[in-house]
Amino acid sequence: MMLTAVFAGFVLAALAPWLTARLGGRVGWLFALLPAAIFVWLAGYIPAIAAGESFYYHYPWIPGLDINLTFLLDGLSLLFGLLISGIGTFIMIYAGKYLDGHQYQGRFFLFLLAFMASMLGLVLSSNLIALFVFWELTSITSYMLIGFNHEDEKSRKSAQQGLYVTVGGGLALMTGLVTLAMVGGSYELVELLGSSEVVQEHALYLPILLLILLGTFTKSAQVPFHFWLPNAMAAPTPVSAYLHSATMVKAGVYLMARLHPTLGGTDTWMIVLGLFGAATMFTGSLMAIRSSGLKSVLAYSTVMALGTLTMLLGVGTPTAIAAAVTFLLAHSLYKGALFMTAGNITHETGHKDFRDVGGLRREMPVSTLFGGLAALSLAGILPFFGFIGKELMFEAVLEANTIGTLITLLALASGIMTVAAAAIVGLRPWFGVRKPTKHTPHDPPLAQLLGPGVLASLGLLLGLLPFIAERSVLSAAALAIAGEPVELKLSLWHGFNLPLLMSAISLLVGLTIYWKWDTVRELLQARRFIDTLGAERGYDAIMRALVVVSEWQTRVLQNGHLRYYILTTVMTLFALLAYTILTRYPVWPGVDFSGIELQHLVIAVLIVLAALVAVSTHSRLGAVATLGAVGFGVALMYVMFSAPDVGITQVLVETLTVILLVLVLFRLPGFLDLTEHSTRLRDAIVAVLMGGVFTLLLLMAIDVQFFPSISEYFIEHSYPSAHGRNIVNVILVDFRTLDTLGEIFVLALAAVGVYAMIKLRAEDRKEGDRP
Amino acid sequence: MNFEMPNFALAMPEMFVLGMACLILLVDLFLNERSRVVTYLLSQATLVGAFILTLSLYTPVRELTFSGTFVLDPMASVLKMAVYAVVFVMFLYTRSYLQARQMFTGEFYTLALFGVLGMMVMISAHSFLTLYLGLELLSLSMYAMVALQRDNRVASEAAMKYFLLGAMASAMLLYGMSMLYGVTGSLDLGEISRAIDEGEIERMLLVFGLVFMLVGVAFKLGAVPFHMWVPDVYHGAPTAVTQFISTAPKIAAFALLIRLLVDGLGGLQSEWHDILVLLAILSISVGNIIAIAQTNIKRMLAYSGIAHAGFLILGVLSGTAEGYAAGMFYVIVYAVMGLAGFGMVLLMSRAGFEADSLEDYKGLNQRNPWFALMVLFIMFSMAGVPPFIGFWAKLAVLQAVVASGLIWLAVLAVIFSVIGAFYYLRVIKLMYFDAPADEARIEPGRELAAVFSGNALVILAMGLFPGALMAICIQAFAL
Repeated sequence: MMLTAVFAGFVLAALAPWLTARLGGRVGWLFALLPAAIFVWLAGYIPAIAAGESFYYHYPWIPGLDINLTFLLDGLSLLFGLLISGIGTFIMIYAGKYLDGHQYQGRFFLFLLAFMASMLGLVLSSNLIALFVFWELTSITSYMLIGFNHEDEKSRKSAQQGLYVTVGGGLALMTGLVTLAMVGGSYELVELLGSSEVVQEHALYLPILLLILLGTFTKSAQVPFHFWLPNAMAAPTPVSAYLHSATMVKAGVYLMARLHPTLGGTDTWMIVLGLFGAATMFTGSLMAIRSSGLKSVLAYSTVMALGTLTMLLGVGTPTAIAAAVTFLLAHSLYKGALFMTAGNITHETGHKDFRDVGGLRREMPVSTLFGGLAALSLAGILPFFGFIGKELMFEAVLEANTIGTLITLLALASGIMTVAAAAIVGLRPWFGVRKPTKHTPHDPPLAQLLGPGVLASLGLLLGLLPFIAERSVLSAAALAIAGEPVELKLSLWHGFNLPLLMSAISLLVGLTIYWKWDTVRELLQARRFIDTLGAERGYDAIMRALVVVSEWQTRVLQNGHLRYYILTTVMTLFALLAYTILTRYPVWPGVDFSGIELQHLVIAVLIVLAALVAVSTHSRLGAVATLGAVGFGVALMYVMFSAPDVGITQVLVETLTVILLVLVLFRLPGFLDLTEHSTRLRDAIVAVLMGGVFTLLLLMAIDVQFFPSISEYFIEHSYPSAHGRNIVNVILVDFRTLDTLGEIFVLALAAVGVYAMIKLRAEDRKEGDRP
Repeated sequence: MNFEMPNFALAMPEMFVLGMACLILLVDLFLNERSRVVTYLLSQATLVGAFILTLSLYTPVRELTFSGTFVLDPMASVLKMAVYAVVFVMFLYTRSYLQARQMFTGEFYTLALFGVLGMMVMISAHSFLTLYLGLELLSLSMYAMVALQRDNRVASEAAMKYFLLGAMASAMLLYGMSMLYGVTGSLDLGEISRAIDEGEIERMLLVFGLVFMLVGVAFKLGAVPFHMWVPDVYHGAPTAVTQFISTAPKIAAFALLIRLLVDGLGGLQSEWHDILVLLAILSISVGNIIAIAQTNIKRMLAYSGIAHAGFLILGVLSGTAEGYAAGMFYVIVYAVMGLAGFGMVLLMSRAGFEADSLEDYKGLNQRNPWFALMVLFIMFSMAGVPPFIGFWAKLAVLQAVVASGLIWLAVLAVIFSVIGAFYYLRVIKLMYFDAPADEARIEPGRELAAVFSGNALVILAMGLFPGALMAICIQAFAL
């Protein structure tokens, strides 16, 4: 059943384009049946889970890697599962109407259904890797959804940006999860949840925490990665609503909440989450009143909410966790309603900016009602569920010890600005002077009102009867986050206390800001430095820098010239050898010069001189000849140290090579462009380094005693086995017959080459058409 | 030395491929343009036959023959079968491309088959001698294949560079081998391993020999800083040849790495570990960063291949059976993705037009949404995003690295993978969000379209069910 629930979405997604082509916009109602069914099915678990039970399902997948499809259904995953399927139901209905007749509606449903299924898989998975797979699937599918409006330039860029930031964070998350599993000994959440001591005392705790947080922060748009979320607003409205109210961006929050029992509670956790969360909360609310686009105000207020949730998870006290679950539910309800309402405004009027709309309450009374209800919950006004969340939030930050003062101030500031933002959303379009609009607006049809209506009403209902939420899922969710039972005590009235005072202040100041909103906004927008400080600039700068670095590296490393390739190869070899010598065998080889006699020295000097001439001469033939001299010198050495056979081979090979080279080079023009001095100097340095390392290598090798010399064997067996008295002869024709054959073969081949060259020259001369 | 009758049966597939390659060489002489398809069919039949032979010879144990120079173990069987499969698919892909360019000749097929033989010998080598023989047979075939279009200046230049650098790398490999032979007195990998374990020989020279050999191997793998040939050759060679060079030989290079470093020099693990770390980091970083600036898709894929080689090395350097299995998994997966990557270039090109510029992919979604989706699969897989197979390969390698305690290395690898994701995702952006620069319809042959779609779908299917291949790879190192 669990598998069916998770994967039904993918199956339906595959059928979506075909069904949509058949049924048109009405198909939304059909698709809505799936999330609705899942919602009902999940709701069936409420009694058992509220009583403290949890359910675990196991399906084998990749046993070799210890990765299985395991699912955990407890308070936390139930809360998210209900939100995803519940809001998903309304989104399907809404999108069926909203995008009715759109060219790519079928494809849209494909990605939307796949997205929903991935999201469900994410929150239900108990295996970290399975969770990660779903995590990335949400990134991909949301990418396709965000970039849905192909023609829009901004849409393209933001799709790219959102995907890049989240996929990048995802890879960090993967490393974090793998490490966590290694430390904790399992990929299973159910087992990890009990191993917090092992993990937190491990030396790798900090890297694990930071890597995982990198993943969750990018996904949940925390500062400094918050910029992609408002940019993702280019997506069609139902998507924005779905992505930003209930789902994708909350995936990061979900994972932090999920891992709270394992990773949470430490000072690092508290400070990192608390500070980044509070900073995100403040930035989000500030940017919300600084913008004026319908969706961007909502998007930034979502950033605010995500920051708040992160901050509360960081504080981690029972009150904070109670506040987190309450705030989470409240936010999902009102934000979904507000996004859909904003979509309705755009749909009806054709405008996308709060400055362009006003006084719509007469034409769109029902929308006004629902939008207003949701906005009241956002502002945290008394009988609404948002109020309870906000009160608890204030209470929690007041309790926080380490960084309490700072985050309390930030919380108050963003509380004020949130009220202002709520007023912008809830009052501005409906009241005031009627502004002219592109189309004549009227209330949209049922499909587009159902979602906002139900969600906004729920915000009021749960505010009046908070125990419904508390008893059904919130207590259980808090239990799952805290790892121990938490008493929520949800009620509207707590008496006159500090949180209430803070609420009152934020209401008053917030409304004042709204009253002067145009001035405030222009004032804020005039502060351009906010843009330059923005992390988006950083993102762009990094992207540009990457390209610059890349091009520079290409020029240096990949210039197409073979000589540089060889240079790099040789220098790397040198570096590796030098490194090995220096780090492992820093002993200068003891060299014994005693056996050297005069004739050896003379030949050695001749070789060196010939080599020097070879590199400095300006004539090709001179270089070839002197190189030949080097070879002959080496051959002499062989002869002197009683290896005449090798010496003879060397002489023959050397002769043939010189002849071949001369014949080839003779046909080339003389040196024309000699290299510059600097180039030659560089080459000289490379040559000296390489030669030096090889010399060192040889000197070191001399000392090494290899296995017994082979000459004893030859002397002993020469006569008995091969019946030859001349040992050299025997070696050549008996012991090393194959070697000799090979040498003869090589020489013969070279001779054929020489013959061919000479013949070619002779023919050329005969024909006389070439010099 | 007593002459012992070797167990020829173990090398049946090699002998079969050799015989068939010679036969095809002869048969091809009597064929004309129209009947050339016989060469093609015979080549495919050779691969199928070799596959069946190898499969029937599969044993879970390790057997030596030919005086200990040839080994047959599970790893060898699996890698050989992977090579046949990859080359088989490559032949399927390239037929129409070759036909359109007057390259549908016997040379292409016989050279490729000799290359396959070289790979097989490398994979089953248990001595420096066989290892080097296989390597050179493969390399020489590849040099010739790159230069197959003799009138193409770019290809000729690429072949020349490839040959010169390759010869240098081979020389270094040989030099290193000779040093090891000098110290241990044997070419046999088993003997060398034993000699090192006994510990009575001079480690210093062993290590120097090791350094030289590593340079040679790194060149064959295309690891930075011995990678310079890769982009030039991938770019210059005809796409069909590039597809061959970039896939199956990597599998053989992996075998080379395992045979040399694990079977032969396992006792020097602490020594080669550092160097491999360095090679891996350089490959992953340079490969991924340079790929960003590329406008030619073949060069981009070349750098992506370099980065993948780095990941492959990461798996091996952990020095555990899990790590080797992860490396093996990675290389097979890479070969499958590489086939698809260059297959996509083949698919888009037509007679007289090579679709090797990134611009050519603009707006592919409007020209052909199905192919765009397939390319999307390939790119996500290469970037290592689930649920595609590339993700599992990266995961397995990272697991091995983390398990060996090198968290920092895993993190570094991930950072550069993030950078790498940039250029893969850019291709997707071009396909889906840009207007097409070229309105010509994409009309690949039915065969090519089917192979390409199949390949991309396999990337997805393997991503959904990676368990079987993973089990095979783990089994290969479970001895």
